[in-house]
Parts: sequence; C-alpha cells; structure tokens
Amino acid sequence: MTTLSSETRPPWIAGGWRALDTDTEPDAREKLTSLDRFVRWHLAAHAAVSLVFALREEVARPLALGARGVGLALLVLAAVAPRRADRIATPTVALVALASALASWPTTSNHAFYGAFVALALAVLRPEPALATAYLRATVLLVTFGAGLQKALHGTWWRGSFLAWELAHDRFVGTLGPLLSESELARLRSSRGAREGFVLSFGPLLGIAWAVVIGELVLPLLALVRRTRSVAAIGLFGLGLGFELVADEVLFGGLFAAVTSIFFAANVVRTITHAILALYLVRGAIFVATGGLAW
Amino acid sequence: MVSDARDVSEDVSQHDVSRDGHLRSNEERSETATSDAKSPNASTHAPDPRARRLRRVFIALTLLGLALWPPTQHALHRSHALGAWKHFGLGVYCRPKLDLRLELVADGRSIDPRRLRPETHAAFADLRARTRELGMLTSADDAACRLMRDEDARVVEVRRTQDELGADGRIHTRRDVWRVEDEVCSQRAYAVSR
Repeated sequence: MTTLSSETRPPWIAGGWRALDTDTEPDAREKLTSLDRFVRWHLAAHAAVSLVFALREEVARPLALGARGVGLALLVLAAVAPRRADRIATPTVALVALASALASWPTTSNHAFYGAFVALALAVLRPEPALATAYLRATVLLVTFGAGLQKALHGTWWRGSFLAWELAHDRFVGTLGPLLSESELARLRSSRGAREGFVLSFGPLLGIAWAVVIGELVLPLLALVRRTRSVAAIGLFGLGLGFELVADEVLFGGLFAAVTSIFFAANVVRTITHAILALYLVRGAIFVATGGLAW
Repeated sequence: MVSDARDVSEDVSQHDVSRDGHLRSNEERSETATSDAKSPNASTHAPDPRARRLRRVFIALTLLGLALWPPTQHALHRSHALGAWKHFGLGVYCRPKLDLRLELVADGRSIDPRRLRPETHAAFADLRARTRELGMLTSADDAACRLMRDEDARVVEVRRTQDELGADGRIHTRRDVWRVEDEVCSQRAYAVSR
C-alpha cells in the first residue's frame, strides 16, 4: 500500500504528519505562540460581544457589567502585550476565561467553555510545547467525537428532523435552503405550528446531515491512524469552517478551526489564525453596519 | 507501511525515542541529550518532576472528563431533562429550543401566575430560566416556598411541561413535577431567621 512519504507529502502539512506524537514536532513552540496570540484576541472578541449583549439586557447589573469590562480590558492588554510578558499574560488570560465561563453558568456556551479549556491548557502546559500541541489535538478529536455522539444519540439528524424544524422556522435557509426543492421548503414552512412532519425527504440535504454525523464520529478515529491523519485533519478543519459558514457560529467555528490548525505546520497555523482574526473583523464590521450596536 | 517504518527509524536516531516516546517532554530531553538543549521547544527552566507529574494529571483528568461528559450529559438529559445545548456536553444543534411551561398548584388549587406578588413572580421567572438549562436538576424550593407562604398552603406542586422534537419528526410532550411540602419550607425559614 502506498503512503505519503516525507519527500512527496505537501510541505504545508509536513509538520502535522505525526499529529498526535510529540517527538517529531520541532515547531511546536512556534505553533503554540501563534495559537496563544489568537486565543487572546478570540477571547477578547468574545468578551466584547458578551458585553454588548449584556448591555442590551433589560435589567443590566452594574457590578456584572463592570466585571465584564475589566475582563475585556485584561484580555486586550494580554493580546497586545509583548512576548516577554507571556509568563504573566498567558495565566491571566486563562483565569479571566475560566472566571467568565463560570460566572455565566448555567447559560455558558460550549465555545466559552472550550475557549477557557484551551487557554488553561496553554497556561498549564506552556513548559512542554510538544506535549501541549499533542494535548490540544486530542481535545479536537474528543470535541468532534462528542458532538457526533450526541447527534447520533439524540437521533434528530438521521431523518433530518432537527434541520427540518430549523428550516421550517426560517433558520439556515440562506445557506441550506438551496439544497432543498421549492416544494419541500414550502411543505416544511407549512408545518409551522404543527406537531409532526419535521423530517427531510431523501435528497442532498439528508445526505449532508448523515455526512456530518458520520464525519464527526469517523474523522477523529481516522486521525488516530498515522496513514489517514492528514485527510482526517483536513476534514476536521472543514467541519469547523462548515459550522462557521452555515450556522454563522463565527466564534465557535473560528476557535475550533484555529485549534485544529495545530495539526498542520507552524507557518500554516500562523496563516490560519491570522485569517480567522481577519474574518472576525469582517463579521464585526457587518454586525455594526447592520445596526448591531443600536438598541 | 515502508515509509512509516523508515520515518520511525529516522526518529529513533535523531531523537532517542523511548518506548513511551510519544509522551516524553522536551524537559526530559534536555535532561538526557545535549543536542536537545538547542531544540526550539526545549525549556529554559530546570526540570521539576513534581510539576511534570501535575501536568500529566491535568492531562489525564481533563481528557477523561472531556471523553465521558457528553454521554453522561445525554443520560442526564433523558433522566432529568438537562438542557442539551450547553454545559460543554457538545449536544448543540441536537434539539431545537421549544416551549416550556410551568403550572403552579397550591393545595390542589391552580394558581394564575399573573396574580403572583412581584417577588414570587420573579422567583418563578428565575426558576423557569434555570430549568430551561438544568431541567429537574435545579431546585424549585425557593419559588415554591414563596408561593406556599403567599397562599398559606401546605403543599405546592410546580408542574413542568416541555415540548421536545423527536427523532421521528414529531413533537413529544414531557411532564415533570416538583412537589414541595411545608416541612421543607419551615426548615428554610428557620435557617434564614437564625
């Protein structure tokens, strides 16, 4: 059986070939530096969004708003701090992220928890970069597999009932609607208010629903095998981007794609994390331009 | 296969990989090989075995938690109506958020929530928000005891009705009940007054 050797594999994935091993990753520290910088800006962006939504609440609590403001200021300071301040900045970011995730419990979002998780890992495992990158890759696999397992156990993706419900209520129509026929979309919309009928007919969208569940379950397993790891890493990265585009889950998709980029070479990690931050800027600009700050 | 075998042999010569090499840290390498001290990953600090052990405990516990929590959360969703979307159980996009109603009954009489005192109303609004995320794992005692005091009742029932989308594309209704007796509330009042 032919495998991709070091001579023939594309250079941009060379550093990620033995993605779960630690002894063959000379660029681990460089990757962590890029990811660490990204995580600080990502958490600052998340804190800014949370602050905007908190200000919109009917009864805004001054103490909670003040704490959010202080958290945001610390994260921005850490993001712009010089590298020699990393010893203080990285643990501070982890503490702020953890405090923020715990303070909003039980309504803490999954990506807030994952952001805190990654920030904590960067702080705790900082002295052992190769171990840290291996650990972060393992979290990517577990998060993906966990999400697939939940979808399989809840069962609402096998007949497309979750997507059917969302489409019936005009969510994801812009991105997933074109995959349905006009009549199918009209049928789902007419089911609004009904207590049954939220299933997808056989077609491309149902295929995608199956592909997502199976992909989330299988790709992490393929990533454990050295020979299939490159393909799996690209698939995992694609899943992150897919959620970002289809569900407009910019913050979760961005964080997940950035951590997944650890499978690739250091220069790719740097490019991807910069590109995601640019995407955040664009999304933020669209948010402001469409009246997101008006209340 | 051949390629992999060659790669591994190269690794052995270059990095002195041990049997558990995949978990070896750069700190370890700095202890054993002079060349590794020049590695970009090498730590500049003296190796601290206790810190290394703690880091491995951190890794083991967090990865174990991350692996076990999603199925546990699913089990809690089924048994106690724990919300699927949050709590890092990764069940987001598994269930749409559907209607949740709370019905209040004091000593067998149905209570209209619109005529509750403001504090009691706020307590039930808080309970409603909490139960959307935590299901029956949250306590209704505080709100129920306020209602019991307002209505001079001995038993309060808070009936929770939650619609859920099933795998069959149908909406299923799930009902749970908190039953709070005056014994619970008198203990709470005692605790507060002390």
